[in-house]
Amino acid sequence: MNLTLRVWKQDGPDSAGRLVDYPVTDIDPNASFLEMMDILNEQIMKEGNDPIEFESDCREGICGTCGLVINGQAHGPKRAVATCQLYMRDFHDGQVITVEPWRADSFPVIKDLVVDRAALDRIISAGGYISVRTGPKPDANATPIAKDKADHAFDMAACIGCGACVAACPNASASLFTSAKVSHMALLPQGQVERSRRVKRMVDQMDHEGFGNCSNIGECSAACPKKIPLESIARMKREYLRAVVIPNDAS
Amino acid sequence: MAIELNGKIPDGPLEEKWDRHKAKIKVVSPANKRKFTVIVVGTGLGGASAAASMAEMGYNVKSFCIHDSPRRAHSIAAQGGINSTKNYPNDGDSVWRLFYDTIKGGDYRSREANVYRLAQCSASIIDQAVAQGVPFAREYGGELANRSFGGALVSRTFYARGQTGQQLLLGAYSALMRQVDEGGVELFARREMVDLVVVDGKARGIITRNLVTGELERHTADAVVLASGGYGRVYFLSTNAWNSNGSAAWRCHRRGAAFANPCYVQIHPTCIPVKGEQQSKLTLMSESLRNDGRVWVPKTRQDSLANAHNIDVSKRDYYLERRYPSFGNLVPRDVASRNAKMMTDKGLGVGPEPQRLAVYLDFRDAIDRLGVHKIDERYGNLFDIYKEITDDDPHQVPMKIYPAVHYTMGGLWVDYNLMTTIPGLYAVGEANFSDHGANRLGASALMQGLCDGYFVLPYTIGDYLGSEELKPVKTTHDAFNEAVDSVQKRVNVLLDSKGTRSGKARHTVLELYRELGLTMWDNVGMARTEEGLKSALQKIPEIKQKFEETVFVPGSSDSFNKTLELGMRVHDFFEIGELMARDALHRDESAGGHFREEHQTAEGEALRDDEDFSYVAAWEWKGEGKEHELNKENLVFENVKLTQRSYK
Amino acid sequence: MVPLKKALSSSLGKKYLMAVSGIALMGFIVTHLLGNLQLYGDGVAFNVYAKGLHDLGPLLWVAEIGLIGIFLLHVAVAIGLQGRNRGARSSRYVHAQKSKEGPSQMSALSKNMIVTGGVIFIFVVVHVLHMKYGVFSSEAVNAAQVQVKGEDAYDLYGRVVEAFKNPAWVAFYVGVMLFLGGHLRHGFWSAFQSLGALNHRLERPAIAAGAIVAVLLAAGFLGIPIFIFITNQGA
Repeated sequence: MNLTLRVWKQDGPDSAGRLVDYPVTDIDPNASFLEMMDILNEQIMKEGNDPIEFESDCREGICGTCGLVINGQAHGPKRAVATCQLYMRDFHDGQVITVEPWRADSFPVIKDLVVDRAALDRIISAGGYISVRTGPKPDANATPIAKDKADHAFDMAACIGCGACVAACPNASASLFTSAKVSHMALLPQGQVERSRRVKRMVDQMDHEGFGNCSNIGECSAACPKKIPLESIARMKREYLRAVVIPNDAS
Repeated sequence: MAIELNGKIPDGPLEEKWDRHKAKIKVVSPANKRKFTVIVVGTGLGGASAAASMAEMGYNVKSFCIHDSPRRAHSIAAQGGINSTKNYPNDGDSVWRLFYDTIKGGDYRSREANVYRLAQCSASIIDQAVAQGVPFAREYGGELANRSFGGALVSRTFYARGQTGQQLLLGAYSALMRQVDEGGVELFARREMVDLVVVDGKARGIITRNLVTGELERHTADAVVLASGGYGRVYFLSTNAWNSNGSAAWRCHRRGAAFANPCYVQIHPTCIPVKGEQQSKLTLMSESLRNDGRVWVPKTRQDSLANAHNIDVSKRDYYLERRYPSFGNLVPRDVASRNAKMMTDKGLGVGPEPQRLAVYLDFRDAIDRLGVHKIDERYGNLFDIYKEITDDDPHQVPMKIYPAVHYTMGGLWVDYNLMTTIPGLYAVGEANFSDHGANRLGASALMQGLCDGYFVLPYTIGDYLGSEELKPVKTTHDAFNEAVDSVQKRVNVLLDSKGTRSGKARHTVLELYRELGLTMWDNVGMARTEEGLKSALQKIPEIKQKFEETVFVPGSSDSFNKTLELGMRVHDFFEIGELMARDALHRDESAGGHFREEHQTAEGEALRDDEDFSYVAAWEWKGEGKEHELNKENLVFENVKLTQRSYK
Repeated sequence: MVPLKKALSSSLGKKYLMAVSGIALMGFIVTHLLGNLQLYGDGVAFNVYAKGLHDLGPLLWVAEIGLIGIFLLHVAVAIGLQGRNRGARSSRYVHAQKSKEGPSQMSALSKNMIVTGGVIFIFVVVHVLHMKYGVFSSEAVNAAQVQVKGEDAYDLYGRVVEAFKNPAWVAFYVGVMLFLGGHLRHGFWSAFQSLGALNHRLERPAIAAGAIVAVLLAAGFLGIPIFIFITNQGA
């Protein structure tokens, strides 16, 4: 396959960026998108030039490191995959492919396609946990949890923290990310004790980071590699309302 | 001067060692804990759990990761599950049985006391994870579900679909982030540990490279915990993540920490076969698939070209079930991998010509027996991953699988307290060597990482901090200056190479990295020979020299530079690979994942030499250009009898 | 746990305000349409209805002030939200964002609620000046009186008919009602989603209901000017 890659190049957070065209030739359709990027970088470096900086790690769609906006779509054209799970057979010969970083003011560009997503960690740090210490705990089977409830909690916990929801949202909102963690814990008996405090603090932090508002557009869920449903945002809104109405965390 | 290898195994009967030890070791008072700073390098299961637990206890913890977020550590990719002795299925599991299976699975090359402690702590891990909200799979009655893994005759593996590592890591990460919020942990993301600082013979700090600015930063501490994972990426192609590397451990090794059993590498039997020369990464298909999938090859080479479903059952060789009737498809990984290689060596492999490097993993019978719904519930996401990558649907055609490098059992030598041969330097999880011997059983890596981090290190580190006199150290200390200088020199090797200065790439980092990987796979891979190992020992330094002279690294050292990051890691991989080959050559026996073709039973099983090799090989760095020195820690087996491992 | 004032100033709280005010406004629109359906009749009934409302006196004032308050709240919060949304991505994508469909509701309508809303805002001002105060009507119509139940009353029906004989007003009203339909298409289900009232079972039906509500309300309103325009041809 032969392609033209139109890639965002930016030296640093405060520099101006621009799109640069790179021809890519002779790509195996079974190569992954990131392997294609590796090959392009090899070509660039063979000529003594600076490669395109992008990030990836596990390359099997679970670590959440990779993330490119490809032709206006976070993680490219396929649903329910991360960028590393895209294959060149998902594109066609001769295609012009525009590659941009996640764009959000809360995700400053570090270089080229690499952005800083520490804001998501700070949201988790504000309450995305059940406050238990390491140490003796009741037997794991002491509290039975209905299978469908546990499965549902898992669906929410499957978030890989890639930030595609923010990148895909026209408002750069982090609602899907935040709500997935709120929902995971609100669904489990272990999460009840800090239920109100958690949602309040996480939403506060989310707002503080400067993400946009949720306009219920739902592109976040369409772009999510783990198919976190919009329902999780509805649950976060319920949880927050509940925290307004119910004055104290009841266990 | 040889290193003294004192395992510090406590006295007493096996079952009481850990409790007695905990009762005897020093404890730091709550008021004093806050006076100590502990550095934890890595935020995987071992690192995150250790950092969180120590911060909860009151220590000042500085946590470092090379990723943009601690949640990205490669533990996240573990699929299948975590072992524990809960015995919920009521199939007779016990601490002893998990201990015995692990010792035997490791081909009798691990320490009894460490493994027993691991089995003892395994139940607490599940309780801890559930309390954190880890959504393990459950039965309809609301109780936790189990499945079987290789090398065991009981169902003791807890799982969260095919994403157990992810869920356990997110549990540990959440505990870590809670401590970040509470001020107990200071988090340093996008930092790579590039050297260890040793003052007066004790580990007192690290040098990190800020991966955004390139700045070399100095951090002091009273103890350093290495939780930086394994070195499997030395093979270039592996199931390990792109950024996984052995450099942090190697830097500690060069500062005096003995490196134990580097040749013990796990080659995982069920991975998606290599396809094409541009491939960057191999993908694992969880061992849990062998619960229901049946492994086979056609009986004749002619048939190996046919469409799998057109091959009659009578013409299929379910070779694992045939050769190992009691364990069947659930033999340990080393055995399954070796058998797959045996079949493809005989020309019975399937997959693309001419290599035909694959065997079938077939779910047809399981789907007939249990229905598609049940199978999807168990393995749906794995089937999806397989289909994404290969474009084949495992519901319709059998998976094609082949072994790939997955885990390294070797690592920094540690004593019972998880302390390396440098006082104050600890190693947990895959970074140490201690629990898996020559072969790790499936679902035991998560168990070990969390056991070390939650339940062992937080106690044992107090023994050191409470008994040593640790004078304050400043970042201006000579040892820090010397370390920073040495890092700068290594950076300069890459930036001043002829390849870089010429302005045009003679060789890219990846080209030479691939060359190293191929050399390692061919000679220090699934089957090793004296001749192959000797050739590796000759080739690796040659490639390294070529690397130092001709490699091209663009950009500068004072900015974000992925090529420089990778280049520095690859530079270390040459030395790691060389030591692996040296260790494999010296270990003139077969054991677990270390298979020397010269040493096999008539049936092709690994043949140990307990007389001569029942020891841990702890290699000591003697300086640049000098040969490593071998130190031995004899393995003492008081509770199990060493036998030829059998899974028949 | 969360004080109400703080809650309402959060990103979620602002959406609650949007949702509640939006639902209230939808309630008003439905009532308004039900009343206006009488315009499909002979005009007498409509004038009776208009007088009835007018005779409510102070009660009507209270209702009107309340309605204006809700409306202005909806507008003000919307402007605030929009400002923040724009600010959250000051460096825009060069390649236009493209929907991956599936659960996504991304469309020109859902992305441009501020535009459809803005049009409706201008319309409401014009509409009130037009129909309530007769700013754009002839003096004759404004001065006209009719007998309703033996009492004098404004000939509101006459004002409506005069307006909708004019194709320009017809086009304006019809056009704006299309925007209203577009606004409700996303606004209806969105209000319930913002309040957290939906789950995976209710989500799809709510979205579908939004489409039906949008079509019914828009059609009900925009039919009026067209009906009057047609039935008064040559009259």
